[in-house]
Amino acid sequence: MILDILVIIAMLSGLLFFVATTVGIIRFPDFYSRVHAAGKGDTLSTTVFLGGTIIYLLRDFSGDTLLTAGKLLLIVFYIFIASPTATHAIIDAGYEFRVPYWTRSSTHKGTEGDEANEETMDNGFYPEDLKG
Amino acid sequence: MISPRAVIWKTGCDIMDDLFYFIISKYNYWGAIILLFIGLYGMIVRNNLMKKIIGMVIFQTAILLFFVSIGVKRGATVPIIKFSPDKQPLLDPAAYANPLPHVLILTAIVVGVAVLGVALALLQKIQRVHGTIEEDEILEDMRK
Amino acid sequence: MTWDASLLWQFDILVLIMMVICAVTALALEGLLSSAIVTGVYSFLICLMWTHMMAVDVAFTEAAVGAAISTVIFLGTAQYISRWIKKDRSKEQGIKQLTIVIAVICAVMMLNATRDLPDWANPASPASTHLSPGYIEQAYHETATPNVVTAVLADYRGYDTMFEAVVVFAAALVVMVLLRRTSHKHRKVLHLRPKREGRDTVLRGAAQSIIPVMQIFALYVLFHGHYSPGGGFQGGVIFGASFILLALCYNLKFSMNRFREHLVLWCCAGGVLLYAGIGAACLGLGWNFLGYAALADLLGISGKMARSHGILAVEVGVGITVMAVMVSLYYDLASGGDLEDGL
Repeated sequence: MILDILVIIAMLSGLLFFVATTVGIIRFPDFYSRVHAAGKGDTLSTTVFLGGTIIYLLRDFSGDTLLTAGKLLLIVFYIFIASPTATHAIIDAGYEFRVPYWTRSSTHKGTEGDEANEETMDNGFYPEDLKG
Repeated sequence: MISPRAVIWKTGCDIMDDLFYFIISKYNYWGAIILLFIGLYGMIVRNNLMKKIIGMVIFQTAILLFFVSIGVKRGATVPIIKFSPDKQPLLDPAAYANPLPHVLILTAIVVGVAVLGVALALLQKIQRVHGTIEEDEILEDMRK
Repeated sequence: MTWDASLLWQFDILVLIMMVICAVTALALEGLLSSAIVTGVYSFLICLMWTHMMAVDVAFTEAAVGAAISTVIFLGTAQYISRWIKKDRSKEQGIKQLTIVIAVICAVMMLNATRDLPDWANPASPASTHLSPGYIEQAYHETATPNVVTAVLADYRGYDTMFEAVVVFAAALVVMVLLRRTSHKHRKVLHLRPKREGRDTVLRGAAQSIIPVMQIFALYVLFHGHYSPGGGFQGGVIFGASFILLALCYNLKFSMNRFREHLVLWCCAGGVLLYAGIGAACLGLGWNFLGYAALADLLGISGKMARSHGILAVEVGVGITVMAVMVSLYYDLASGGDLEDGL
């Protein structure tokens, strides 16, 4: 009974984090924050959701389900390593190519979206001695 | 006395039932056909060669979807023979999904990626020779 | 009328709608990189559909080959072509718009014709009652392989698989012939990439922890093809993908120092040679080409086990070929032919 509740909580919170990730990808103002939201939110939501699946499997304890739960744990571990690495690679590539980032300007307080903030995108803080 | 309104309502419900049943029992074919024609649109109408290649990929996977969905059986499981606890194979054909379309589609997927590799190599070569990958510009370039 | 849906049709219809949206988006987007990524999403969705339809071997292959490898080679090619489509779409008028009308008419006709096709997931449909029950019942007794798909792929339909290995080998050769060149003078890269010495710590650490596990998993998938979904193709693709991952996390040169080009070609050819060689050996011992029961008295085992080992040997051959072909495709496509610098 308590394992059932735990499974439901885990899956619902996994879905909640996933919805938050999607909202973040759509609503954040520039490239870096969007990829940040995607990477972190994706990893967390998948981990929590698969954790719920593992608990669901382990409700009836036997050799078979233990093996499957072990494999799922390996999948969680792999996603935990690979997804943030991919996020890092994407952001690194964007940084190398000087993708402009959003800064808040006083005349555009409260607006979102790149189009409204076009003139506040600047490359001001890139160090000059970045190896090109 | 059955009123005409009741008759029309019942006929309408029957038609909706028929339509619903028709969609539910054939939706895999419908999905495959719709994707087929989207892929065909991409391959024929779009000018950009990369879009044509993407249309080819969509077309291929639509056909594969059609073929695999033929072999699905209600209540069937993965076509790997299960064993009873005393090591006897459980060989009931209705309990396993049809394995023959899977075999053909395995081959088709790998051949599909081989064709995709060749298509992308041709794309790079065309870009190198003609300088563009839009179909009309390539035709103009070839006429020169 | 009743509909006994033990398969979840709501799930399937949702995934189909998402696939149609992905397909339309992939064709309508302006940026070619984005279209390539959306095509990868499309492949993942169809993989999900196939898992739901209990076609796990197909889903495995599609996930490894369609979603991963084809996205990587799309992205590798996108470095060398112009990355945006032309805004001016006026050339797509006229006779091409007529195509849309004809396509819609044909689609409606085909949708009407599906009325005669057998219902979906009907166990009594002709596809499931003529030939396949025989295979399901006989495959384990004749080949000692619980995975019926592997048994049919490598034993009953062994010719198809051999020619498929030849086709991927030929594709690798064609890509090499089309693209390979050695002079740098004519290199016209449209978008300059900054030169990198090697990648940074995060990517190197992730590569060092993932790649050995990936290769062991690839060998597991290959050798367990008899008992679990998998087999030669999937194992070979995962093994090849581990080298592609090495090339992505470090340099192309780094990966090429470990798996040189001539060794790649040897592996491509060697896998096909292994497959056809086993067939020829069976022919030489007096049986049919690819009739593995000929190996029974050679190895001193029963006919069933000889067929099982024959299946394993040809799967190893296919795996070697597919691994080398994926690596060769990446080397040639992602470097534009001169094998200097990759993605």
